[in-house]
Amino acid sequence: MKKLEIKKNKNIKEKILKRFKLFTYILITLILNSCIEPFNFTNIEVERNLVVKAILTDEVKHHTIELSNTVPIDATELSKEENAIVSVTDNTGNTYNFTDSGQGIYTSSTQFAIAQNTMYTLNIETQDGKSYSSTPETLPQSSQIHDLKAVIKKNKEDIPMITFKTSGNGNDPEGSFYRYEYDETYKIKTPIWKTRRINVLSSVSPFQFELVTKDPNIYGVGFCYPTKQSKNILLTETKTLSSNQISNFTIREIPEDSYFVGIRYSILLKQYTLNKNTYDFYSLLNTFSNPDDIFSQTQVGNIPSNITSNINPTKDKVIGFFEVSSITSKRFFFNREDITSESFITYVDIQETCNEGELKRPEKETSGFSPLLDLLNNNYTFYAEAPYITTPPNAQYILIPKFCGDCSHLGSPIQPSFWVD
Amino acid sequence: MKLAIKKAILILLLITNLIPVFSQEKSKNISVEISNLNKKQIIDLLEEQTNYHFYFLENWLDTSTISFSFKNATIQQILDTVLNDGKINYFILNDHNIVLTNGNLIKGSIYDTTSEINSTNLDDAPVLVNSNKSFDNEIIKIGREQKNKQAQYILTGIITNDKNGEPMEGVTFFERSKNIYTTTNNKGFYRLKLPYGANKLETSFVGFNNLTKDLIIYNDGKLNLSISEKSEQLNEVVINANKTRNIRQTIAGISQIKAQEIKKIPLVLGERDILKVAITLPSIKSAGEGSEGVNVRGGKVDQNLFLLDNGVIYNPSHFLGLFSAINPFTTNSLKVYTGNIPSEYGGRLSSVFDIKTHDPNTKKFTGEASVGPVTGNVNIDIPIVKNKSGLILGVRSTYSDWILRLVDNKDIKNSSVSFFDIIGKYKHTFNEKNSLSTTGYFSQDKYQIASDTINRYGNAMISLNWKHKFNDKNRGSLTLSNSKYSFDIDFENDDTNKGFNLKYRINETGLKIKMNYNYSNVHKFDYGLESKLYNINPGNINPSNQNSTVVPISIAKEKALENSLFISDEIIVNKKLNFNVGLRLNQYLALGPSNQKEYQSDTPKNETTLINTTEHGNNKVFKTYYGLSYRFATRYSLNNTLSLKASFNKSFQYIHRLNNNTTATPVDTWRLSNSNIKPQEGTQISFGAFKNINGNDYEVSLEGYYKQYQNLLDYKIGATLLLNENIETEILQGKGKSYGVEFLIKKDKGILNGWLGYSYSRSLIQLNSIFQEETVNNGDFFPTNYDKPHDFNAVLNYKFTERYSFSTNFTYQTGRPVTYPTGKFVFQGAEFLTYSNRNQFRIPDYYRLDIGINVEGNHKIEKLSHSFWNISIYNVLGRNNPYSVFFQTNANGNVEGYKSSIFSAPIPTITYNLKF
Repeated sequence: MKKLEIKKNKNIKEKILKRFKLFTYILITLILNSCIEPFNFTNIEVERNLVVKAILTDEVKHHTIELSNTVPIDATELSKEENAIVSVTDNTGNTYNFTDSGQGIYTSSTQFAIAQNTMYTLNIETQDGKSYSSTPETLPQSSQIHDLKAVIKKNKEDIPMITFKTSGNGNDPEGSFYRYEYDETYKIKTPIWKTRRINVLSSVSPFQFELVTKDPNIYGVGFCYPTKQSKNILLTETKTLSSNQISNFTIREIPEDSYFVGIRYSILLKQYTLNKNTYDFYSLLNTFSNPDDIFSQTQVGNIPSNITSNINPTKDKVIGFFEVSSITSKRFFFNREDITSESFITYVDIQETCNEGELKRPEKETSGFSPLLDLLNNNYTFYAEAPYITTPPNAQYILIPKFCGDCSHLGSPIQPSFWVD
Repeated sequence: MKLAIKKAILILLLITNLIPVFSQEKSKNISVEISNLNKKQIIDLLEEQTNYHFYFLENWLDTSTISFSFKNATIQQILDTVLNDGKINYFILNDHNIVLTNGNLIKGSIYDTTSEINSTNLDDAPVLVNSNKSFDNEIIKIGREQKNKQAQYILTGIITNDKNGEPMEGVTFFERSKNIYTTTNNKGFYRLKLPYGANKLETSFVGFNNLTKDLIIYNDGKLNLSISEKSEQLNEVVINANKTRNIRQTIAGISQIKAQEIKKIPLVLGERDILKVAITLPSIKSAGEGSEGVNVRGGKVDQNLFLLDNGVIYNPSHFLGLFSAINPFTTNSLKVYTGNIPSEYGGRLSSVFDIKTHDPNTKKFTGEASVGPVTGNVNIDIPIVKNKSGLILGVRSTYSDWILRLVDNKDIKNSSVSFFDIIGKYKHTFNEKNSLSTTGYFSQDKYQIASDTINRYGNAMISLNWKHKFNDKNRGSLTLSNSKYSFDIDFENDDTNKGFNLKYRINETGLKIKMNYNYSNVHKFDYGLESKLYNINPGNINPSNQNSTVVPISIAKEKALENSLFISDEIIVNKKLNFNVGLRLNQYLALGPSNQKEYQSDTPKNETTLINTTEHGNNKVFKTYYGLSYRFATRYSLNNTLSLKASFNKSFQYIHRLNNNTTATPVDTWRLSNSNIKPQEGTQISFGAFKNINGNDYEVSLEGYYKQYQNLLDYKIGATLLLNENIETEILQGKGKSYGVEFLIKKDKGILNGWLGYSYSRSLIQLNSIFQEETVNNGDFFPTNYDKPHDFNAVLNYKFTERYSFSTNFTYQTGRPVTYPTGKFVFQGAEFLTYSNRNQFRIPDYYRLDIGINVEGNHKIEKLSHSFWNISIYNVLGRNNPYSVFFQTNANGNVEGYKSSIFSAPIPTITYNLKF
């Protein structure tokens, strides 16, 4: 009897403790996670301002400058600024003219590179007669990329992430400001690759189809190479450090189980050395678009530009920056097995979505309608030839969902020229 | 108790046995020579030399000595002389026996009933007390009965706090059945006219036990009382300490919050919080949950001076403002000056929060403990020298840190929140004229919210207060204090070369001498001097580990001395008209070592316009500012319940809190005025009408104010204010103005009590310059971040029974101004926003309802400890009050809008309090 009582007490104690734990958990979650929820913000006021993206570098090429206008928040289309007169002048008397090549993009008529110890000024005259010019900017000192390495690191949610970290150095002994961009390309494999495809000879009744071998120059060999560009602003600086060394700066994090790093992954890393004002511009742009502290909100506002209106500086505001930067770039390749021992991963679950149950066997055409053509037009592709049966009469092919037999919806099936396997 | 029984028995004996054998005494002449003998010795001598035998209790007789001589005098003559000064009566029974009585005049006859005393039977009516009834309450006899009685006698005395012997102001002392009452003055003194005979007097004071005394008034007399603090004040009806103080006080805009009042407010996370009560007043606003500081009458957060026992506390809040760092258990009162700040205070433009710790119990060991879901709190009072000195210690700490560790979520595991504060006060009363007290305070906060960055901040304060009374007209006090505020930001990351430790420190040492001179009934002067030495270490950064290549940076220290002389005069022209006039002369000396930068005068301040840097040696005064601030307040009483008040004043502020957020945070830096940063100035004009309704049951006030500021500090968009060597290039100074009307109705008594407050106010700032980069919103006045026009608060308490009470708190505020996106653009493949003018729009309005239930343990007096439970629900309506609205560019490069709120659901808490 006594024993039982003790046990009971213990149970109660445990229960209480458990409840306490739960309660405090809720409490702390309340405090920490508080509540952040998206809301639909309505557009309040339309202010149309000129947006300038002008990055000139020490790379010899046809440089481009993009002009557009701000649009309402709910707008789905951008407003390109066309027919403007754009030029860059330097203090040695050179003028580089940029011509409108459509879509608000202006390309320099000649190839040139920004030189050291020269001051460059951007001039814009829009078609409505407004003119803008920038403050003179000079090229900062150049820098090098040493390395990009991939490590696996668990993130805050305890998910293992393949983390790419770069190291490099700058040539300015006082330290430099850096911004990174990257183009990532990853090799993916079509789960069920067939070397032949159905060619539609006649898409009207009488329908005609034939089986042909895929041309590797168009359809590839069962692999695709999607390429994406970075969209976030990646900034770091070495001004506050004793040496101009960038050490293990995180460029990109990809979950370990992502098909991005399914076979082989490549990244073209571009490292820009920036002037301080350019860095400040990006830094504010980044801060204002990524508020990370719920308890203190940074005062937001329009970021001052180094481009101002020559006519009405208070009314005609410019968004953007005339940037003169030094660039260096380097390409890196990674094989999955070099990074992780986790098995190969592709973009679909073959067992789940590309199994036999997904196969379609279209019926033969009836009264001017071809179920086969209909399926081919609705994301199905050739799987196998089918033996003819009479009831119901069928077409001679078995089809499979296109994403199982073809990866070109994700990226080009043609191996890019830079690719090295 | 025993004595009382004895006395009662004796009285009974006397009445039942001795009185019937009353007979006329015979005169016998006595000659006697007495020198320096006390009453007992005289009586002994008389017994020795005559046949008389005396019946008395020895403890009735005091030990004062007298000298006299009589020749052939009667025994009556001698006894009249001997017993002249006391309350002892005598009755000569016969040739041998004399009965001494303690006040009673023994009569030859007895009345069966306790008849009402009136003027007709006044001469010979005895005072009878029902002995049975009075057994449990000592009967106190005042004065010696005389043959010629008056209808009324005067009773005077002093009421003190039994804990520390301090006089209590505002204690109501009354005879309930006869509707006679008075209140004690600031020396605890009272004067009461009472009718002859039996009176039952009671004391009443907020938070103190009511003391009942049965008195028999024979003559004018004195009665000093000490009253004891209640162990549970929860259900106590609050009687305003000074019934008509709000009507009589010259200065408008003073709010006093007694620590007791905060028990009435529902709690957030089980914490009692005196500052949270303050923000329910119409002149005080906070930016919302999770933001620090308060805004008083449209002033900035840095314009409030927080004093704890006269020492400055720079950041009186824990965990980003969710809890106040002031221990609620050791706090006695909080006085908030929002209108006319007395001239003895200076250095802040908007308000003074004067927080006083209660005096230690010098009689017995007591303590209090509370357990809530977030913190535990223990406070003890330790007497050191009985009736002279004692010590208070209070410790409060969170245990949330270990709770966090139990939680199986990495985001939370990577987070920690912990804080604690310790307060100690020692007070020693040397004598009536001298007392010394010292208070030490320390608080520390540490938090890490889902990141590698650990933030720490804390206050440390010590103050020494010596009070001296020179004479009845002159009193003085000397205060020495030292305050520190610090924060640390530690970024620990072994992986990169960027780990760092960042430190900020401010240290303030103050000396203040304040004298009171009670010159006459018309003039009362306060005067003195105050001096403050500021030392600021505005930030240094060091690498946190060996991998780190962070270059150590140390921003040059700042030093300054602020000296002030002050005088004020409270002028009572007549009962209706009062003035309070004050002057404060400030001298601010910016001291070296310092490098002061000079910029081209006709250009905006930035790196390119810097023309010269001047180096100043240690303690060299490189910039001096003088300021004469004045205070003028007047009050005119139209009648006993209605008065009008007006005030006009100007003040200066030399220390500024900088941040580039829309709300205050613990990592804001305080910086000093120098050649490039001018002192802030503020003037305020205010009017108010104060009315008490229904016998002071309701206090109603209506106040209006208009304030103007010069050199308010703001900053350029995206300013970096921490570790910036050229801070002046990021700072903007501009004009400001704020105005508003405030309405408050308050009911302190009754089953239902509480207050309602409403204010309409605006707060605007102008940042104008001929240079585009130093102009915000085209140089027009625009709303400050804390401009909230409508503000309504209701605090109501309902008492069901002695043990159960219900409290509720409702708050409504207009939403805070925000800068809102007006358009978007695409840059680098991602969407970004363009913004409206600063603070052109508002977040949705804020409202919240909290409820609380208090359950007290039973009220047995002899119980060793008292306990009570508090159950409260914060944000009952579950209102998802947006704290901020922000916009983020997501991974796909699209802009998304978010609103964040700190408490989006109702939060129930239970707290257990124990007092021993």
